[in-house]
Amino acid sequence: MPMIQIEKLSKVFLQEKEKKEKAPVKVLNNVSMNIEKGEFVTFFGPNGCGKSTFLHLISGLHQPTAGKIGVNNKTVEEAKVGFVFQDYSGSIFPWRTVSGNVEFGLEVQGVPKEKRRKMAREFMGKLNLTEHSNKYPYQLSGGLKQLTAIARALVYDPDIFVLDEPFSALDYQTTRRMWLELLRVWKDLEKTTLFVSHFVDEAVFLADRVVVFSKSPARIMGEVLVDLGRPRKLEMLQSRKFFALRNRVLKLFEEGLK
Amino acid sequence: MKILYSALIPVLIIVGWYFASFFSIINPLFLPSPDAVFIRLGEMLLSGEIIPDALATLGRMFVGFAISILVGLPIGLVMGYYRRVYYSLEFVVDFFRSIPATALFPLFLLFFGIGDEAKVAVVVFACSLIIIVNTMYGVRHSQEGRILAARTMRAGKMDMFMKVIFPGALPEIFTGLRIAASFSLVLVVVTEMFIGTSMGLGRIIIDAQLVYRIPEMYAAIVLAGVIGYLINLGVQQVERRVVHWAGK
Repeated sequence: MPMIQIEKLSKVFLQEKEKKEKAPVKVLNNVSMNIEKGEFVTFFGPNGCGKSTFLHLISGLHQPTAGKIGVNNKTVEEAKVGFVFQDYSGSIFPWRTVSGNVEFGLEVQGVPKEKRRKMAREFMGKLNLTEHSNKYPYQLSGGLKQLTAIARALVYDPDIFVLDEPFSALDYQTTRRMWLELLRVWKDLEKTTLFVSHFVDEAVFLADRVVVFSKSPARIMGEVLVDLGRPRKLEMLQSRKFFALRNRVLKLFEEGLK
Repeated sequence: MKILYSALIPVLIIVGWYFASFFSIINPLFLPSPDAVFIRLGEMLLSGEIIPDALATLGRMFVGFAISILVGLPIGLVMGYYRRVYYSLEFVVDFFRSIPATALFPLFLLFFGIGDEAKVAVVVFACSLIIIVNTMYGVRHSQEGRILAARTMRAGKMDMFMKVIFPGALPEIFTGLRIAASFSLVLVVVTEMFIGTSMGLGRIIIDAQLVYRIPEMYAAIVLAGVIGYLINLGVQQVERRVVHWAGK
């Protein structure tokens, strides 16, 4: 039984137009796929194609117009989701310290104070945030803010781990460091991970499987299985095999633009 | 360095004031010399005669300001959070905040008499509106990203409000509090002048004016200014502590 089952998923938004009538805009077109437990799947596609909407549907933030999603034999609303947003500054809580941010999910889910302290400490340790635990977000670099957001999303043991272009605001060097950090915790926790990227190297480097979306309304153009072996090393970015995989992804991407 | 710059303009104003009175550019009946004013202020402070008046003014101000927070904060939060409440009250709030509270004196006198209640009521009327508007916008400007993040963590309605929306609104709430604090002092002094009272800086100002004790009038005005400055400083200190993270 796959961890996530997606059947004929479509989403239509009613967009407010200048004149009063509302124009329906289709952003997701009949998407079906399965994701296995512990799998790392990246989603790659043109800007504004509906990748984020896809993640929001899987996380229960929006209702699909048609189709079904099951997560771990539960509805998306019942499933626990760890979500990391692109805009770390706008999604972490600036009035809470790093540990306060990490504890937030546990707190609103009713975990007692002592226990959530302990769990937060454990996850800050996993992400090398321990020395920053009492700092406020404005005292942290972008990379550390996003690590805080990752710890916050993982600490309550979610069924699925979802990241929406989490590193796109970071410089390249920091981004590469974040890839390795992310892969390390992913391996450690064996979380089923869905990662949207607009950066083809990133999509290939991280994934077990790259899913390529077409331009809006997004449908699946195809998939590329990434058999680079694990653990991934940054040297792989220069390998022939990596290039071959990257080119296959780009080919699907080009077709999706037509 | 910072102190130098903040002292520069006030020093220039006082020097200009000396200059104007020394060369009799302005009739001393309208603006006496600074030494006359400062000497009178020193006398009034040393003899302690002005202290009960200052305390009376401060007392009314604090009561008015406190009630304004108690009234304005909850209304502002609810208006910011519930669209329907916002639409229902938007007109009333914007209408009344465009009216000078002091123009409604007769109404306040009718309902609250000529005692302290009327003065406090004027403060509450004007300042709670300021707090309502700032709080409301603070809530309405909540970062969508933080609300989404809290939703993915399955925060309930109460947690969403208390732990995401309210703290997010605090910077704007404090802006409102700072404006309201300064304004409450202004209103108390004005009501003391025009509704009348036996104690208060406004009373000194109006009494001195009527009998042409002009240095005394300015002494009370200067003291009111200093008090207002210190109150603003105090609110700013609290603000810096509570929302140290704002705008960073």
